[in-house]
Parts: sequence; C-alpha cells; structure tokens
Amino acid sequence: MAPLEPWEKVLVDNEVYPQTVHGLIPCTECHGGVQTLDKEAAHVGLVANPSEDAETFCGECHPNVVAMEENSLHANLTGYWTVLDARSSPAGHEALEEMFGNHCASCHATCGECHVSQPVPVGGGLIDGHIFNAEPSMTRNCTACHGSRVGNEFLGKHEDLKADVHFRQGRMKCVDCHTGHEMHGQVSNCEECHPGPESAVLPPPDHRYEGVQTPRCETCHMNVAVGDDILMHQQHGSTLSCQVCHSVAYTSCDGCHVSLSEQTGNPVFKTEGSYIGFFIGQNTRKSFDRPYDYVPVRHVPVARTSFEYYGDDLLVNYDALPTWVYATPHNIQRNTPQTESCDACHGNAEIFLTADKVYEEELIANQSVVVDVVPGSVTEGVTPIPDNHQEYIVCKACHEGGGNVPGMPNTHQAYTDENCLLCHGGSAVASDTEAEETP
Amino acid sequence: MSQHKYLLSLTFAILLIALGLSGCGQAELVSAASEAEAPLEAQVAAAPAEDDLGGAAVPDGLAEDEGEALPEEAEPDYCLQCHSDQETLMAVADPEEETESESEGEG
Repeated sequence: MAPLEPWEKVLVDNEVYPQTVHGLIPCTECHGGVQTLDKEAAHVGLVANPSEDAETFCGECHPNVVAMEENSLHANLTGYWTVLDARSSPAGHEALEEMFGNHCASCHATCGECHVSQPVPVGGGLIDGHIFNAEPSMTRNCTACHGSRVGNEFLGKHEDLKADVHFRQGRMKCVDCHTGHEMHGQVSNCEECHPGPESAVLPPPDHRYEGVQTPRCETCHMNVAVGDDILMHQQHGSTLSCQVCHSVAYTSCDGCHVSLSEQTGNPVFKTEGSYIGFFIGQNTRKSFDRPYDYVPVRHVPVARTSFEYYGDDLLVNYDALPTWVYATPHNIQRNTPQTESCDACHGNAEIFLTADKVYEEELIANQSVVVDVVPGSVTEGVTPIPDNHQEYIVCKACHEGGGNVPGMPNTHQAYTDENCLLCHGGSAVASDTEAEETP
Repeated sequence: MSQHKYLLSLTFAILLIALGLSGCGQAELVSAASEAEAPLEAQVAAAPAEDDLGGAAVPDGLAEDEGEALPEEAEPDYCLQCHSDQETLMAVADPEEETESESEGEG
C-alpha cells in the first residue's frame, strides 16, 4: 500500500461527500475546530479522529453497533491480554502495561479507521474523499493491518504460492466471510449463545477459536457438511480441519523483541526470523465445534525475552501456552501437496510438527502440539488394485496400480460395502497367507 | 330570582368584553413585535393590495413572492472550502518528517 501525501490524506470530495448522509453534518460538529479561513485558528480544538469516542460521535445514529463495541477485538484488544496474562505473573503487569501502551495499544481500530480512513498505524488518510463506506476496503483497511500473514497469503504475494482460491477465482473480499457482526463484536445468530434449550446458554468465548466457528467453511460448502462423494471428506471430515488438506505453506515468525529507539524514542520491534512452511500439529483447542485431531500450526513471534527491554523475566510463565498455535491460513486451494495422495501426509514426517522442529527451549510449551507418532503410510506394502478394477475409484485412492487384493482387513470396516464384499469376503485378513486364499 | 339572572347576564357580558379586549391587545403586540423583528417581511405584508395601487400593474414576480419568507444566506463552510481544494492543501500542508523505521523483520 503506497503511502499518501499529506494533502491527499485530508482531501475531501466536495461533489459527492456533501450529498451523503454524513455530509449533511457540519464539519465542526464532529471535528471541533473553528470556521475560519485561517489555518492555524481553524484547527484550534481539532478532533482528528472523532470515532475514538464512538459513543459520543457515532452512537447517536448507530446505537446498536456502538453498544457492542466493547466486545469487538478491534476495540478491546483482549487477545493480547489473554496471552500476556497467561505467560506472566501479576508482579510483571505494571511493566507489561507500559510495554502494551507503547507497542500494542495503537493496533486497535476505531469506527473511522475501517469506514472512512486508513488505519492510523499505517499512516492514516482519507480513503474516498471522506465518504463513509459501509464496507471497508480490503487492501486499504483490512490487509493494511493484517498484511504480513493474512494479506500476503490471501493475495498470493509469496513467491511460487498462488493466491487463495476465494480471491483468485471467487474474487471474494475479507468481508464476504468476516461479517460486520464479527467485526463489531456482535453475535450473528442466536445459536452462538443459545445452542439448545432455553436454559442452555454458552459462556462468552474467551478465544477466537472457542465457540461456534465463524466464519465456517461449511456455511458455503454445504455439500461437504451433509456428505458429498469425496471419500476423503468422509474419512477425515471430523478429524482434520479443512485447512490441513486445503491450505498451502504460510508464514511463521520467531523472536519478536520490542524497545524504544534511542534516537527518536519511537517504538521499535525486531523479529529474529520469518519463514514459509506448512506444519500439522495436534489440536489443543479441541471442542464440539472443532473436534479435529490435527490442525495446521503456526509459530507466533513471541520469545521468552520479547519484553526484556521493560524488565527481566516478565514472561515468567512462558511455558503456559504453546508457541506453535492453531492456524487458519488464508491461502486455500482445492488441490494442494497434501491432496495429491494419501502418503503425501501419511508417513510423511516433513509436514508434521515433530519434536525435532521445535526449539529446545520451547519443547515444554509445545508438548501438547507436537506430533509424537506420525500417522503411518497407508500404501506401503498394500497390494495394488488389478487392472480390471479401474471403476472402483474408492479403492483406487490407496490401491492404485494392479495385482491382487487380499480379504478385507480390520482397518477397512468403512469400505465393507457390497461391491467389495462380493469378492473379498467380510472377514478380516490377519496375514498374507490368508490373503492368498482369498479370491 | 330575576335579580340573580340579571347579575349572571351582566357578569357574562363583562367577561365577553374583557376577552375581546385582551384578544385585540395580543394581536397588536404580535403585530408590533413582527414589525420590529422582521421589518422586511412587515414591509412586504404591509404593502398595499392591488386595488390600493389604483389598478397599477404589479410585476409577476413580486405578486408571486408576496408573503413568502426571503431565503437566508448560507454561511460559507470554510472547512470544506479548504479541504476540497487540492492546490490549497498542497500549498499549506505541513510536510511530514520522514523518519527511517528502525524496526526489522515482519510486523
């Protein structure tokens, strides 16, 4: 996103804006200042970003939205404190609050920073001549902040990695999945809080991967939810998150350290490294809504010494949370390296987060994520399917090729339909000897 | 009984007169105030009717405008005036100090 010139940031569209609803409100009613041609005098008492006080300036006309603002992660930044609290102790909170104020607090978004201007952390500036857009701009609002991971993945900015199919072919924007309800901290439907009888009320989720999945792939891909003819959806639908098979490599970051510049006093960060990779780990947030055994995991940039500029050992409970976390990469493809064959994952230790891929000092923190035993190969030693069985596409998923297949093994109970049983019997095969006896 | 009736009639008559007088007074007050506050409107209102002009022709426009409020002159919006003029903004905008970021790596 190219930075705006200073004049460009405050240029108002004099033809269209006055015709809009917000254009009927005198400038000084929201921005303060004085009506005069003298620049200095005009800007006395100026309120550059009125929606920092949303209740006063937005709430009169948008009471429903403003009332829920305290639940919006864009406004309350609760996610930061969820992890800071877990990894620290009360003794370090004062220093962490100072750190938070210098480095994290500016990352919030006011109403205006999504609907009328670019976010302040990326330089600010009016987007469309002060016209209020109900739908934020994908690149000038959403990915202006969520750029280094989500934006680069979704828009295909990593070399040799295609853009997310939802963008590349569907021309979808962030708001097509992430609705205003989600952005504003509102629930989008009653069932998010009331899953069953009147008395059953869920406590508010305390993590973005708690509670009902919103957005949820199956909302659009309903055929997957109700059961389509794709064998792997039936086989893995409840054990793998959609992204395990349908996302490609994504960014992880290591060792972010924050400080204040000695020259300017401005906040500064330095990350030790960022890299592209794809890693399947154990799902540490298993629940009714996310029953998966495995999910993609991404390394978050925290380090034990991330905040040492503000004090020693502030993250005294560093091991309380994993540093490899549940991820939902935004680079979905129908066909990925994982979908090429069963053994693209089965028996392929490279794509699993095994202990050897975790920093030694983070092994304890990540013991719930690390995959101890990689699921074994499903085709190794498997007799290939004979040439005259080419119509059995379900079998071919693993038994591509030719040759004889023994009786139905114990692991194949799901495939014991009449087509297979007709020839291969219903009894489990214990050994190769038995297999030879089977037609 | 007839004396009582007479007294009632008299009281009613006095009340009617008093009401009538107070009504006239209000009308006069309102009229005076209007004249003082809006002399232009009062002049238009007090302008002689067509008959009073002795049959002189009245310009169409004046006849149509008769009795309507004159439009108020809109105050100029200096904010919009300046902030919609690219050249003015370019001339008066404070240059932004370019500070090289000391941050390193992905944010």
